[in-house]
Amino acid sequence: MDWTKESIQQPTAKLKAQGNRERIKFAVGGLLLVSAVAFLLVSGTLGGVRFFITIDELLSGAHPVGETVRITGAVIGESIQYDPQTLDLSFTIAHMSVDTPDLARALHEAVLDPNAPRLTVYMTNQVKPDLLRNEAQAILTGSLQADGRFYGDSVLLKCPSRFDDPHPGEAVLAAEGNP
Amino acid sequence: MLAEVGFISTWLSIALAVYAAAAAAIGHYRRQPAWTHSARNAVFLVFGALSVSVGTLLVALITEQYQLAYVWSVSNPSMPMVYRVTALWGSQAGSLLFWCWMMSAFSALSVATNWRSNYRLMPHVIIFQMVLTGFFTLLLMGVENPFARYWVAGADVLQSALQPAGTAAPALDALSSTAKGLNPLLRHFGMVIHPPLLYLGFVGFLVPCAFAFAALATGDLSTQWIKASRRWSLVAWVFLGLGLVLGGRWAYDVLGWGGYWGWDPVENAAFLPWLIGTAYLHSIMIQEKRGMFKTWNMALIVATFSAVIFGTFATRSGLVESVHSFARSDIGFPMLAMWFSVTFTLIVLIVWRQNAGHLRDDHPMTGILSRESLFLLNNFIFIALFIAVFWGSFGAPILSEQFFDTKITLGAEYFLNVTPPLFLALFVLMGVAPLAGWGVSAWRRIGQGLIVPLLLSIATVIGFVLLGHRTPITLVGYGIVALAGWVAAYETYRAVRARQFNLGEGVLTALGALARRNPRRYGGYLTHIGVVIIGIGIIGSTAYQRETQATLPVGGEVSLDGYTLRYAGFEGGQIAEDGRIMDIAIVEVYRGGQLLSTLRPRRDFFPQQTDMNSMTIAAAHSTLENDVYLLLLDWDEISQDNATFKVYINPLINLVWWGALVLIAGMAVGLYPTVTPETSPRRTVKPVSGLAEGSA
Repeated sequence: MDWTKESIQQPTAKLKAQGNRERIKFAVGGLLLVSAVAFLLVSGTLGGVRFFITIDELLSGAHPVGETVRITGAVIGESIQYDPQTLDLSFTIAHMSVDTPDLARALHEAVLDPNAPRLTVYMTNQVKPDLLRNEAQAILTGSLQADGRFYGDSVLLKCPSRFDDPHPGEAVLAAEGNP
Repeated sequence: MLAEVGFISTWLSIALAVYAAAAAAIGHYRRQPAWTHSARNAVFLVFGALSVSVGTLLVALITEQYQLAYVWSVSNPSMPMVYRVTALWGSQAGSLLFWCWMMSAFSALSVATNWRSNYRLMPHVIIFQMVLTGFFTLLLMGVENPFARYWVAGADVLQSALQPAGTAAPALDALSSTAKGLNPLLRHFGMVIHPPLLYLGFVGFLVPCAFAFAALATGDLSTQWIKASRRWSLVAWVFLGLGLVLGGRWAYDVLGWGGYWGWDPVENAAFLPWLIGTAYLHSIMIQEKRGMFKTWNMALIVATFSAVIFGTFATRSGLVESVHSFARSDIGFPMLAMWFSVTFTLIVLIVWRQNAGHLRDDHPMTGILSRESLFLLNNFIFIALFIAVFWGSFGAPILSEQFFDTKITLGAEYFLNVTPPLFLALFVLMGVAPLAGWGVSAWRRIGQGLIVPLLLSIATVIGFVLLGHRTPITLVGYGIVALAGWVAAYETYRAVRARQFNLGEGVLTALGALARRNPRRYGGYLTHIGVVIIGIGIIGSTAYQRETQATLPVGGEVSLDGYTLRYAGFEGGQIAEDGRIMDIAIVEVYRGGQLLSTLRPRRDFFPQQTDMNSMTIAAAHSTLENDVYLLLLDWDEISQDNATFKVYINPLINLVWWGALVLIAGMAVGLYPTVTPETSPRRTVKPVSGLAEGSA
């Protein structure tokens, strides 16, 4: 058997080269995968991005007509119109302050404020949500069109009283006629 | 009296948790086993004290103690018993108490079952679990005390845990007549079990993360921490998955939009730990088999638990706008601080151990087609999904608001574009990885194993074409998903056939023997089949949903996809047990002229609710093929002659729920104990001399 230094080094070098080839394969594969995922994320983000703006900002023309945006506002109960046969729904929302710990108060004040900017929303093929009522917070996705109407694609509603219950003592006093 | 008992026991549990953590630290660092034993007993007492707290609130709900503010806000006299019990997790305070109780239960159980076999890890396991349990309980009592009571003093309303001087409690009948009752949205069987399952999933990951922390802190970085916590991880993972599916079922039944998953931030917050936990469950197999991925596994379990705390924070703080979220609450900042502290500490420990060379792998990565490479790829895709979902739900909105003075959100379109390719890649791997060998593997071996499953997948696709599902992209999806299922089924079939041939066993006997001999493999295959069934259900119900709407006179009909629905009559003003008033339409469903069922879609009115006082309840005729899902939108109040309906046909949707049951079966098999040399009783590691049980 040949026990020279070269004969021992030969298979070691072979293994080393094989290891390097595997490493290169892993590196190239990894790079390709990272690039594919990055592409997916970037293209998905560019295609799905919606600016979350206030009614004020929408009406000021900061965003082009037809751009899909997300807006929020306080629902004015008396404006709700719904045709269950055609599933056409429209209602008006008033500009409200969103950075407040007291959501109920913000909604109440927005609905009562005659100077708060208002926007009428139109939705088609929309089942009237059970939570759509006066002083609910509506979060809408849709776009302002050239006719000045906001066409909503989806609506999410929150009723503050659903979460922030009045205290029992207050309710008892109210029930006894001592608000 | 109940309020005082609950109040005191909860504060006692906080004191005990602090004591347990401190005693465990003293026991370990001063090498005084008596302290460690005392810490263990304190863990059990924390569980006992929180059990008293939860029991107290439950008794208060059942016996209608409306002087407790929580009871008053989530129940009323007309609510049936089942909803009084589920009201325990019907609002922020109660559900947080329930969460803390579960944490204490998991802590006590994991300490009890690992005390002898993993004694060295116990002090740090106790420290981690008790710090977190103590923190969440303190947060509960500091911000959302569930035992708060209210008294009326003149026109002022005073809130206190104990009655202030000079005040008087309002009469009980005045309280009961104004009690609000459980939110109508939560009066559904899905809500009866969905939150506890989700919490079991969330809290379950506390245990493996505590063991990981203990391993990092003590330097015992063998696979022992994984072995000790593997079953906890598996149970947590399945419960989290079931919680997600049941949440979807609740949305499907209650929210009335014909779907079950809206890529809502809160849904996604629960989905994130499931994604990364799945990566972890796959990855730890490599460490157990080959001693590889040690740092990676640590990072994954830390990320999983970090995602759990972040998800809890996102849901409970009011951070995101969602139909599922709780109200904006003061618990946000402390919870965020805890999330950061826990995550940062664990990352520092991992980096420290990694730099010290304690997490070095036993083997290098070899062939690109080896099973470990494919598992790494599987992990990569799970992480990519995690990043994609996190970015869409939280990353983009938060970053844009913090750094660009604007707020952007990414809608459902983003998720529908980004996630399907990644999910399909996962299904491809689910099909290929089980056929690859450890260390090295060849295309040929994998290719041979794929021939029969590929043919079966093609047959499956042809079946879908015959069913009328003909969109090319969905057929590709069906094929890829089915391939993963057929690989699992065919591999099991081959093993059964081998036993039949060699040992002459019957099919069931052979299946049972396989499950006992290698529960992980065959439990894993069954789990894969469950996921495949869910996947097919998701593709079918998403891509082939049909809908229409119609206003019908009594006797009128509307047709959709071969079904005819006939409006047969109306039952107005029905009063249910919980006081709701129901207006019900009677609709007959026909197919080919044959009556299949009679549906009763309805609108419920809740007279005692001041906010959300009506709710649309869908009705459905369900088969494996599809759901005929019907909503009553409107009706003529006086004549009741005309009613408007919305009809959905949701193909294959029931596979989503049935797949979840198969998932449970897979978990049950996977949990079956494997007797290996490492875990056999003869080789169990005894407690270190001097720290042994009896030496205290």
